[in-house]
Amino acid sequence: MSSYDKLMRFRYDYLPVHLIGEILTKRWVDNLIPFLVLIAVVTTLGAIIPDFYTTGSLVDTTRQLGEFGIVVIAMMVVMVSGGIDLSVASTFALVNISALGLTSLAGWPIAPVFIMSLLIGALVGFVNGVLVGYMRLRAFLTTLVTLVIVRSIVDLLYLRYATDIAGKFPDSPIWDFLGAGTLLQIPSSFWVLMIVGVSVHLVISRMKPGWRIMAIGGARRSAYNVGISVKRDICLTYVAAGILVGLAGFLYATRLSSVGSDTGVGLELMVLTAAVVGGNSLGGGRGSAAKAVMGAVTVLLLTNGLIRLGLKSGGTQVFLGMMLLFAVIVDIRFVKNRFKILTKVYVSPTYFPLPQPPATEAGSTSPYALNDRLRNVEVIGLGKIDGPEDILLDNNDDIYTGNRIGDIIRFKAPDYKEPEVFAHCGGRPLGLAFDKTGNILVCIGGMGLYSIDRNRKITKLTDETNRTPWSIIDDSRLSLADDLDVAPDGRVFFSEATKRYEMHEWPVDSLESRGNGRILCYDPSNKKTKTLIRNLVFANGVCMAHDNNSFFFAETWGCRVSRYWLNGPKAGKVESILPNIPGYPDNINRASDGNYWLALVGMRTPAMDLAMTMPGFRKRMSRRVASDEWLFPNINTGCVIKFNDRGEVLESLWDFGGENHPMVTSMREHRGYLYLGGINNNRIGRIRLQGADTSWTGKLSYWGDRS
Amino acid sequence: MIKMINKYLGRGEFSITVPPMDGALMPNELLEETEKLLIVDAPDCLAIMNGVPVVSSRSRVLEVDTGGKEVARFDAEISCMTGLPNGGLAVGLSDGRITLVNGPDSGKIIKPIEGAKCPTAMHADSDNNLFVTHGSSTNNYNDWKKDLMEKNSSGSLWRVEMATGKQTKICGGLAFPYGIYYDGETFIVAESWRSQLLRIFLDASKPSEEVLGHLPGYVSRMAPAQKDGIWLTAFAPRSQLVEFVLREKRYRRLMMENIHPDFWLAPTLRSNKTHFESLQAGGVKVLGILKPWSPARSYGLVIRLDSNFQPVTSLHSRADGSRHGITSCIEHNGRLLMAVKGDGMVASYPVDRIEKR
Repeated sequence: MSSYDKLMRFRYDYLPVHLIGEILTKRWVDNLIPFLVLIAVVTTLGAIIPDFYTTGSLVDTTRQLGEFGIVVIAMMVVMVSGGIDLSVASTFALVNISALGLTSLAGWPIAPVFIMSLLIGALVGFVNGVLVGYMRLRAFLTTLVTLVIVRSIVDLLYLRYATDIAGKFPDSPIWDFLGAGTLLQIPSSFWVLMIVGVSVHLVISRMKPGWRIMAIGGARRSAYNVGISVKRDICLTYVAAGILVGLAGFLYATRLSSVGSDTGVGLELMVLTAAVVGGNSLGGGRGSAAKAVMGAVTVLLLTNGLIRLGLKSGGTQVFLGMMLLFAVIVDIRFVKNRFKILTKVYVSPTYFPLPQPPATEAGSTSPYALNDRLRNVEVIGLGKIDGPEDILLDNNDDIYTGNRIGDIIRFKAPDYKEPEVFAHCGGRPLGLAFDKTGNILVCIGGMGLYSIDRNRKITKLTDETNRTPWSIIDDSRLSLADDLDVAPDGRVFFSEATKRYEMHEWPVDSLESRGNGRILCYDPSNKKTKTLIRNLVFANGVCMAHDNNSFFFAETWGCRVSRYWLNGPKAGKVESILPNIPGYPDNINRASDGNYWLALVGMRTPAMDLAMTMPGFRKRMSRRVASDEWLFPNINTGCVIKFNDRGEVLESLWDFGGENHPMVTSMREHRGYLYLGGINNNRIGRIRLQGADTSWTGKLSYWGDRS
Repeated sequence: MIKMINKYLGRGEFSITVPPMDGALMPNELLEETEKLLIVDAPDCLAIMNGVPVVSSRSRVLEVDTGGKEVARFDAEISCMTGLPNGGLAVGLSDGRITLVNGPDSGKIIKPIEGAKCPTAMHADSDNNLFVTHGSSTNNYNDWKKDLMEKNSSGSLWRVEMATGKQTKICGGLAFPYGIYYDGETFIVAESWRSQLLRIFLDASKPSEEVLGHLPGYVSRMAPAQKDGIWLTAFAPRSQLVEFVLREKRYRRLMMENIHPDFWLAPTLRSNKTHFESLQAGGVKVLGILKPWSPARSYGLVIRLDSNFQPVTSLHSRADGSRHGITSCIEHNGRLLMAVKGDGMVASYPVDRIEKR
């Protein structure tokens, strides 16, 4: 192996750069940037400021965080629906002074004071909600006005009652606990934050009210069209925000037990910065409690750290303002570019050298030599069928096949003139097989494994399998179920071609040639599916061996056919049967003489094989050249070969020139004829096999069924 | 700095774009209607010899109108021809020699000079001068694909005095000049790899200037039209994939070292002859049909330019057509004759039917 070869293998086997693309597809990747920012802030501050993380300061910080975090969550709730609530700061102060006034001066017990705090917050929120939600006023200006008005109310109350409150201390153990107590060394307000955070997270991500406000924030007009009462829900977000601010204000009151003239002044800037730094989108539609809490922690640690470092009080505001500006810029750029980055980064071609292909030239001694044996096929259903990928025949000689638009089509024997829709299953039906009772089992690309009985009733057998723990992509879903075969005990072995791409973009997988495919087993006795073999390069055809002790499977871009042993000494092992095919193998089916048929959907070309050893070339091509012009496997020429279980290729049938069958994805032997199908063709082909057993059918071979 | 970033990322002015076929170059299927005048192996260059149209096919010269009667045969492949005003034919051979036949100077051979062994087009004037374009100083005529993949621009324009055999170089550094036209004062040369027509001043008084650029194909020989203007042929289309490969040094090097030229990712005269040729995504046959607008490595294109060298109309043979790889054309008797080298025929089409469009 040359040093270049070794280097490439190392790079592509051990450096999983393709995972970056997979991570970007996840919904939680939004949280990654704020999380990284948080880590950076925590470590930097810990490094610069000595004793930043002593227990005492941590306890104090987390206590502050409790209230601050709840206000940020309140802001987040409003932002997610596309609004903004600047009045949180003064509501906070109002609740603080009211709570203190009610306990100290009016002497109310704690519980009613608590309720009253929430109600005051809700009242202000309601005013905001009516103005913004029902009267359609602009959120920014309206809440700014509310901010000012409530601030003036606070100032009036302060002037009138401050001295009266100052002397008194509420005498209540609960008050003290809330203000200064800890549970398991964690301050009580932090516990409240956690509870609030988890509840809000559950509501927003898992419950209908949360989905509704996310919908409003994401696309207000569409949400309205779908029937969400936008005005009511927006009003409710402001009310909810108000309640949360009330809670936060109450906790603040218990902590400080004093009123100051500057309570909550400038808080709105800090809260807004925290919300945006955490990754909540200003435009709405993107946000979560986790983001809010991360942002709150970041901003709080930063401001505390800056104070410790001796930055003057005005400096903190400047710093916060700059942070906000930076966070807003990143927010906008990320939202605009995330999917662009994803599409550019996702396609990850890998190093995949193939050995020199066997000769295919006409006249060569190779069993793959070009010939014209398929030139004179009989054509069935010309122009009447769109994409018959696989063909199945029952003992009445009726032909069943899938088409591109989700039908199972039947051509009735003997003249196969008019197709009829046997069943409409949706998706893209691919591989077909009969089970013991004569049901048609079909792999539907994009859906999974389904069964259709003689009365045309469609049942889903499975559309999921066990999730691979270390896979970032959720591979419990089946994105491209391809071909299947049935063992005598009813177990269905089927392939999933690729888990990184959907049915409509399967050609991009050829560019990657990664081991994205797998073979699965569905067991009808317990209705469970499990993954048998992983890391196959586009797993495609599956066929039980004649003695049912193993099955053969094809890897299309891997250009090889292997065998998986079910019973016997090699049970559970994979053995290579055809390691170096000059083309791309697709479906495999049994032949009547104890051998097997294999369809080659396309042929390897030197330019493509060279490109397979140069993943950088393919990656740049995928980014710089239009997808219509990409280098593609030559699937305009296909052929059918016959091989035996010792891996010898016995013969090949070509339609050179692609006149009748430019592409062959499947062949099925039935009563002395070979029927051909192709995923992009508009016809089914049929050719007489000289000397083949004219009584042999698939149903007979698998189930002994002559009916 | 930004330029460097753009160059590395392949965007901005370094992005891969191909001029679209639009306006006067809007694709049509006119070439499919042309008559197969003569079916012959690899017809390359058309010329009028003593008033009779002849075509070169490998190492022979055949008459077009008499069913392919052979009028001359050589020991090397012919790479270009032109009729001489005093009678006879000047023939450029692929080893660089230029011979004159069937005229007053018949039998004269002009020996090749080092660096000028690839005659691609010739023009004879009335002063017994022959103006010859040599495509490359390092590659032969049949190795044009290699010349393109090497991104060579070592072609040149020479003046040959037929009486004395003296050869003078007029201009060098041309990217495979493949066509020549004299407009009375200057020479218009079709530069293939740059897909443009270049005006060269005979006395080098002014630098060469681009006359028509950004053509969507690799241009080849030109011929004057009876009315004002020129016929210009393009023997292969430009495509995004080939432009991309031209920017990938390592891939090109390995491709040229290890793969047969017929199977390169390069333009060709006739594509999809074997299954060893690569496919592009849009070229996949669906429902048995190859789309006419699918990306193709071969194409048929003849362009009619007016006296200002602006395209007026064009004839196309699209991706699924059967008249690809036109290297030469000539007007004779109201017909436009075209050497369809890719599909092995000389095709003919009435000129007035084209002019009427």
